[in-house]
Amino acid sequence: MIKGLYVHIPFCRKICTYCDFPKLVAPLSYQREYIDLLIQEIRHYHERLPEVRTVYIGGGTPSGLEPGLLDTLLSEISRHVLAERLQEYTVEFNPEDITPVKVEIMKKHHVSRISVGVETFNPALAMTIGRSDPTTILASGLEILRNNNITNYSFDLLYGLPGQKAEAVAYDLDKALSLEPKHISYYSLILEPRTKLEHDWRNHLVSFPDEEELVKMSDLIDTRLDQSGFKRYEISNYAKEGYESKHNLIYWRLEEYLGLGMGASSQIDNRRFHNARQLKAYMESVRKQGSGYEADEPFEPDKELVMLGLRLVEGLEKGRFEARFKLSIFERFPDMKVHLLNGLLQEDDQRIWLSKRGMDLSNYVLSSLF
Amino acid sequence: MEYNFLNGEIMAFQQISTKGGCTMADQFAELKERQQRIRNFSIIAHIDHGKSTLADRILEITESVSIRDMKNQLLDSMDLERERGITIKLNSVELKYKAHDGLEYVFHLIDTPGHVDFTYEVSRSLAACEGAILVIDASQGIEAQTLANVYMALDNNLEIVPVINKIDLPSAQPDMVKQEIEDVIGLDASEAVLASAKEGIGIEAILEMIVKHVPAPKGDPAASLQALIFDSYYDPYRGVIPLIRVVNGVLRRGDRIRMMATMGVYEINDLGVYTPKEEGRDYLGPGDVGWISATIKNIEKVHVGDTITGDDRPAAKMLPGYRKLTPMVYSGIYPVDADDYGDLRDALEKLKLSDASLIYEPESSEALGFGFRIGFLGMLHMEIFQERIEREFNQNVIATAPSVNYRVLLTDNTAVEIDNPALLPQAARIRAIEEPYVKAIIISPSEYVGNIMELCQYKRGVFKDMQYVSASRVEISYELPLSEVIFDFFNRLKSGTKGYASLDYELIGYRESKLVKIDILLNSEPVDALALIVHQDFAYDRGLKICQKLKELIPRQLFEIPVQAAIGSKVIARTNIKALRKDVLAKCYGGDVSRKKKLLEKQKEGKKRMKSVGSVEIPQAAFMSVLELDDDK
Repeated sequence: MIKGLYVHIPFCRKICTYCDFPKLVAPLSYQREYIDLLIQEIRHYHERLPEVRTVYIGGGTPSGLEPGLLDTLLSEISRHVLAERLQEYTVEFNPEDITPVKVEIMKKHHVSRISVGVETFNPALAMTIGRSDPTTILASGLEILRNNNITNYSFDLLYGLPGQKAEAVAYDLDKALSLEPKHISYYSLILEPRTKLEHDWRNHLVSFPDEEELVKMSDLIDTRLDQSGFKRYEISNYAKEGYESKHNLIYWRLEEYLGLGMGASSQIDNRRFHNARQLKAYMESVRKQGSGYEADEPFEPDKELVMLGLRLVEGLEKGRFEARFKLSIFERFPDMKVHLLNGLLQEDDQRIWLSKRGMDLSNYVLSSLF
Repeated sequence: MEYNFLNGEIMAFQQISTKGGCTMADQFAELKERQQRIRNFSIIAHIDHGKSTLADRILEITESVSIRDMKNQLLDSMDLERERGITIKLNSVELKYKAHDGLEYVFHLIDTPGHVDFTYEVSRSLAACEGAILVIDASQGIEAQTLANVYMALDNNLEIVPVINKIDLPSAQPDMVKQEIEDVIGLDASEAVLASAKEGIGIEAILEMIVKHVPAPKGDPAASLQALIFDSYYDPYRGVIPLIRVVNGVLRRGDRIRMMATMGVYEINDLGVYTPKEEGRDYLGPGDVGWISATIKNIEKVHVGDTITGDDRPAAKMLPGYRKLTPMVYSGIYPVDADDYGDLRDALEKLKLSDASLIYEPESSEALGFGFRIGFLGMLHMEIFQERIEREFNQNVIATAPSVNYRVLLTDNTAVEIDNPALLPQAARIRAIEEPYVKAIIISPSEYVGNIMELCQYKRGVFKDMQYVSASRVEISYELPLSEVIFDFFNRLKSGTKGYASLDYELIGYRESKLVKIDILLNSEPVDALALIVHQDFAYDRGLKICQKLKELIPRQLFEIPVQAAIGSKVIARTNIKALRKDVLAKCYGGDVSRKKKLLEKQKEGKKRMKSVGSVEIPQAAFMSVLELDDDK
């Protein structure tokens, strides 16, 4: 059963230097055409959509769509999903897009959660990643949300920025906490190949904090957020009680989701596949076959369940693994025993999970299992 | 001249003679006449200066290969060679060329490898020739290795035909290159051919120059057989196939032959030439270059440089220049996964069939388990071996740092030889250690003498002689410890002479040196496979550098690992590999699963290439780290 629906809007006003998501800067005419075709794709899957329990519109920058297009898209989605079934409806926003008009549209379509790309409150650091300082505009944006009774908002924050020190993270934490989000995703910056930032790094134009400093930062984040009532529930995600992202939990629990739009991925019916990752190819595909489907990817549920499940603080249920694969998790991944001994993994009768140190070294653990 | 035939020789000869219905004297006259129209040559060129393209053009113009069959680089047949841009295996091709004088000539194009590990093989290929085409890039001028091979060709008295290639390029400066040829090599460049192999310009002129300047082979068809083996390869159906150049006498199917150095005796089943396709012939006479098939099962009986003679009427002397190839370096080769030991043994047996110089015996290591000690001609030979064993035989191996063979004199007046530093007896039992010395001959343009001497001095060399071979060319000879020559000498020589120097060396015996063994300890446990023997003056420096290098190379693990270098119980250097703190993917959502999974699988692959020694995982590169310490100078 499809539990989650992901809808991808690939457009951005400008490109952040670290981003490796499918995105582009495109003229309005393209955006109109894209939304038209995206709607076709939604209709293509219309029989499956009433099952959906969470909707997530991400990007790119979905909030950057002009209000008319945003409304058209959300109206179409509303036509297919069952409002009474929806447990969570998230749209990603850039701080400057939180305007009365757009928030009105969110409210109209029962969007329940806004995920704001804050990244950092430090103007100089923001510049290094091709963004601007959100401080002022975010405060007024959140005011608009609260006035419309949308109190469930989440911040995306980044640490490990070029030249950043632990003190700068402390500042971002203070700032973020003062704005009272219900949820924080705090990512360590990853240098992805084929991004501007990676290119600059290769050419020695930027440098990054060393591991010791990064460990300091992540310790600081864990402590401060814990003290402020945020529970870490995933490697990079923290939430107030009951505000964990239901949509993202679908991924980590290896439950089924459908991804629509350019480059979106799906895992349904024991398959994993993705849509075309180029705008032209995507649009061409929808015109031809009604969907943006490009290719299947290998689906290895046993590995994926472990890889994703161990991202969660709760870990994964051993019984659920055994029921699904007719094999105990230790038979399938014998090296798990090694990591129980060295303390990177912990278990009780029902579950197995990464210890705090194990979370920091999850690649080390997973790569030895696979 | 007197012809003194044994009966068998005459009988065999008559078989040929009856075919043409002519007399024996006629036959010799015919052979002699044909010999006048043979030209044997090789091509000397720097990588990328167009050797392969030129060879292709020559094959094309002599219509040896139909255009349809032509590949871009016909002569280099091994993938590995092509990738490394060097030619390891030699090939020889017979071509027919109708010259402007109206006569048809027989050309043999003999290909040569180009690296110091194979200097001897190059010299034997050159010994099979009377001339060489020297290809020089019209924009780049003479380069290092080219010059080294030219010197060797001159040593072998080859006639050099200079060719300035790539004259079609806008950056071509043929006059400057001509001047350089005269200044640096001392050759008359006035007749140098201006060519573009790529565009097919000047190819005929080159062939005409060969006809005109390269002498015909001198050998005597009536003399006892002397044929030079300059290469061989293994054919799974016919055994070892030697490639030969007949110098004197005639070689025929059915002949009993004798290898003069290895004493192997065989009967020839078949012989012929390459055009470049294999073609059978009735006989090979003086000047001919070709192959023989004689059901030779043991490649150890076929030595490059050996002389083949008739078993019935052997020649009095071998052809000059033969050297028995002896391994210079030894390295332990171990399967990464101990279960693969049997597969590795099988792979070595197979590899041995095509590499006569490969010598191995089983050994074991505390750290690495069961493996083999393998002798190599040099570092490149070792590298090629490693690549072949991994690529062609699919073996995942760890190679320990190479070592030379040491002679250890013990206090009880006995002596042992070791080629594995880990096996050095305890210091208290050692009276002295002797190491192999070589006589090294370096030929270089004279302006680099200072750099060369500085390097040799640093490498513990003893100066022997220096001679001006020409106004601009100098030959320097030094006696050096073999270990110093093998490890990073050639690279430094190249950089100190802008690549213009050539190096050749041969073992001259053992000499006592003040040598010590450095043990490397990881997590306080000595790792036998990392032990090395060095001169005591270099011990502290080496120890420290190895520790630093290992710190760089060994991936951090869950706990901190002390790295120490020690002589006996005395620690001379130490450092720590810090514990791994963070190794995590910050983000993983619905769209990332496949890519992130691949990333983890790749990381897993990386781990497979590592060997667990005690509780520490050591990558292959760490075992070679002792060799790569010289980036400071």
